[in-house]
Amino acid sequence: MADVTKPIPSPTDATQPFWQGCSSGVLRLRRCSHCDRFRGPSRIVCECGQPDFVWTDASGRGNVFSYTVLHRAPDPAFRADLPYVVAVVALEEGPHLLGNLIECAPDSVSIGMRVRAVFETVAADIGVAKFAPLA
Amino acid sequence: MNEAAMHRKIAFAGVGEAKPSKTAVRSALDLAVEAALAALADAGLTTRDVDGVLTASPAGDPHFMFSTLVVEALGIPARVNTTLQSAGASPCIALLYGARAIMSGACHTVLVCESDSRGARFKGDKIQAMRAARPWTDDYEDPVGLTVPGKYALIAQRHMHRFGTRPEDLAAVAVAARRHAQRLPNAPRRDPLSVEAVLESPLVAAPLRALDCCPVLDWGGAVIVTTAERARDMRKSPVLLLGAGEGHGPYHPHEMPELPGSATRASGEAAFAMAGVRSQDIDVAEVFDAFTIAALVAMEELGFCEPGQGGSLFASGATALDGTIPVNTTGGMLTWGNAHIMVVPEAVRQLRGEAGINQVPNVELALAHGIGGPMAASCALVLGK
Repeated sequence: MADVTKPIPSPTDATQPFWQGCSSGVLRLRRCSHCDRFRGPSRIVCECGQPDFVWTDASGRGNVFSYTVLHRAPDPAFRADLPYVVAVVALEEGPHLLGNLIECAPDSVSIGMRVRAVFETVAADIGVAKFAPLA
Repeated sequence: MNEAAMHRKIAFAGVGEAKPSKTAVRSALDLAVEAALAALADAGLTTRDVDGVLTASPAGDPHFMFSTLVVEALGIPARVNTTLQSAGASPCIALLYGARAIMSGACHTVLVCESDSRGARFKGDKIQAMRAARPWTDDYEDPVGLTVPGKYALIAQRHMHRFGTRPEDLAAVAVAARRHAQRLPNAPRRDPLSVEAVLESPLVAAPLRALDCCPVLDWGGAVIVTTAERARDMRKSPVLLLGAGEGHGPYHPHEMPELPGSATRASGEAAFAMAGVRSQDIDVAEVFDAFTIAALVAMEELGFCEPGQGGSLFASGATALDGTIPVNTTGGMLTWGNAHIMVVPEAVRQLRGEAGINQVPNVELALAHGIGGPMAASCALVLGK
């Protein structure tokens, strides 16, 4: 019997505040203590070369930078969602995030579309950010 | 060491490929051995003449010491040996690192091979089978259901937004590849193909459709790298490495400031600088085309046309065998499966005049190119005589 549960993130000490933030409804990102820039979630060290940071809440607002509509699923757990949208969202604070775009028809999506983060808790202290059109 | 010192000092002395088969049962190791023996025979060498091995890591038969299995199977007295992993850029990167190892004096003759049994190993839905076999997870991509075609689709959608590229432009890449494949009797995909047929194939990850994606097949390829001096005494006239460059950036699409990243451009600029030539000087280009958008963007990033002009380059006939820059003269990965290493054996054959029915006349300079991860890593090699 195939596993039909969607994959969930596996938090580590380094990433747990991000996933926990998503489970409590905030987009929490590293903000550089030296240059003040927000870092993308996969960047431990700032592009300025400095590791020091403060976890800081971002607005969750941004616009669609690119997207794809998936018609073939990576595993059976996503089959019921087909077709679904995966977008790269450029946040107002600068970093880009990957997320499913929901609450809109796939053929209504366009690059530049304004979106806001919405959150789904997938396990204790683990949330996943999705995006929905900004009303 | 000044990297430019390797200009014309390194030769690709032998190339070989495992023969495609619909019925043979072969592991990635079997395919590597078959390709390696063909490359050694091409160079007029035995396994005892080789003292370095660099292999890519096969997805169909993952192993934590794949190159050592190759060393064992072939009985190679290796002084340099490891498995590299940069996905589709692995073979070109392995060839560059092999050249560096030879230049350093660590060894003198390196077998580079890449093979994969993914066609035989992955049954049913290939996307799902490959995901299930993947020996890692990704906290950002897996929970949202992103696939490899989906990652290339993010690049395609962005390209359409920035430059007005249309699905027809992507389809032109598949049609151009097929025209070359149709001339080859053993090509796995050789039915006539039209732009309309590509646009009618099922969507995989919009805007990419099934015929924008390469098939999932077995492959094996091997190249013998040695010094230009040693190559002079080998069986075939040597093909020389004139320039090589790699480019690297973030892995995840969401960490790239623009899609695609800058890896491909960086690799081309470095390779052309070392070779002392420009893209316009290249006579035949063998570029990564596991997806149509990859080849379209690669031709732009490597400087063969302006950004945004990749689609019209392929649609115009410029990439045909009699065009201004013939591209992927065997039909590429869109025909043969994502056998990333294939770009090098074909570039070598074109330079030797051994490319048969798809030979481009008077080839003096050839480019071979690989991309790893959706344009996260890239390596470009300029080859000449």
